[in-house]
Amino acid sequence: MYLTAQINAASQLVLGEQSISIEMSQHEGLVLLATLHSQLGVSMTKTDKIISSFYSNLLLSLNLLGNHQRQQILAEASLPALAALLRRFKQQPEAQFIRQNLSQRRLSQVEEEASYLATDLTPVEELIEILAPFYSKINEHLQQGELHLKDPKGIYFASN
Amino acid sequence: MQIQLISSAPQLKIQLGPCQINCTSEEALQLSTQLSQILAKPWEQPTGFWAAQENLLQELSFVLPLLEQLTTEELADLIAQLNQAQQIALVRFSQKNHPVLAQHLFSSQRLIQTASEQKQSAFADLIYTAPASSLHELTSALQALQPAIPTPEPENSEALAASPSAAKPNLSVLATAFYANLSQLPKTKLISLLKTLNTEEMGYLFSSIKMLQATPLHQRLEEILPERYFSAFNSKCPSHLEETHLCELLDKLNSNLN
Repeated sequence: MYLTAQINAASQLVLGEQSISIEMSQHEGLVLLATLHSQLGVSMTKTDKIISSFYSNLLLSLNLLGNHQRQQILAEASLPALAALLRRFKQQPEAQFIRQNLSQRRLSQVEEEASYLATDLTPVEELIEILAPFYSKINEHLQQGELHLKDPKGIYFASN
Repeated sequence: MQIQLISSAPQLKIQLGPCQINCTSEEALQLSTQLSQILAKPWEQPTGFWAAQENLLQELSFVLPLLEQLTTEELADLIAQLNQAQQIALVRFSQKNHPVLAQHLFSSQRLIQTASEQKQSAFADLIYTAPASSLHELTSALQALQPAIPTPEPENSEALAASPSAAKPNLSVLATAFYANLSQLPKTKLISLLKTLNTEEMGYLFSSIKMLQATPLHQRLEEILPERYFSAFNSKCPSHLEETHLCELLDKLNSNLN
């Protein structure tokens, strides 16, 4: 069965064939991709690269939100999710974004989180067990129309 | 949604929540390629989107000086059609490039009311605190405003300056009307206007006159410009001008006219 994949106006991934369509979150799309990759013998590094690219795009886009919304979204993230993202983007702009939007106290909690230092999880396990709940919160806001994510590579200007 | 592999090669069977998909490895490969492309940068606009927005801004930049000439009431009526993000984008862009217009936008009572439905100061605060405005918000605002700009009275002294606004989307129609008006300017005024153009822009003017076959203005230039100067431009300039250059030229002529 040949399926086409596209993202709809509510930021959901839609897989379609002539007679059916299945809607899922983009994160679920990532899990599906990882499943397909593992069956097709695609290396885990390649899957991991797409996971990083997805989260980089997401975090840099969150960075374009107003202060309040940015902080709200990071406040809803679990400590392990934040730790996993900080580890993934060590010393990159994405990690900088997370650090700048956490209180000092929460940041030290994140840094103490064991998974910040080491993890036994594979990238796909991390995706499913740790990052999925974080995205699922974001997805709720997207579906309710409370959150509009913009192109992180776009052209923007603020007040002078 | 639970995503689970039920059986593997040669036929993949994957459980997706309540659905099951069956696919060969060729179909699976095709799907995974599509997913990789989409999910690697889900929030990015397609290639070329922002470059097109930059071009669009150039084409629409003539709208800003026209807005500047409206009364506060006319401006408030127009601005009320925009959403808040578009209003903020317009004010921010004006602050940098058209400070008079920015002032004008601020003083428009209706603007402040529609923007915030709160206290006057709330909108002013938003200009500083709202997330960065995108170029797309600005161009969509200008696009929405352009056809709605009121056409000034033809006899009005400002009609000449504002004539490219004539609320017609066709640029060459606007330019032709504008050139017809220019051709009727008093000699000294026309000369001082031409003096504000650099050589390149003078070339644009000749090219556009040829392209639009704006004979009256062509004749005026022949009368008032030194002969050698006129014939040099007249013979060298192609009889075609890119729309973006025409917009720039009209914008400049229009603002220097005031």
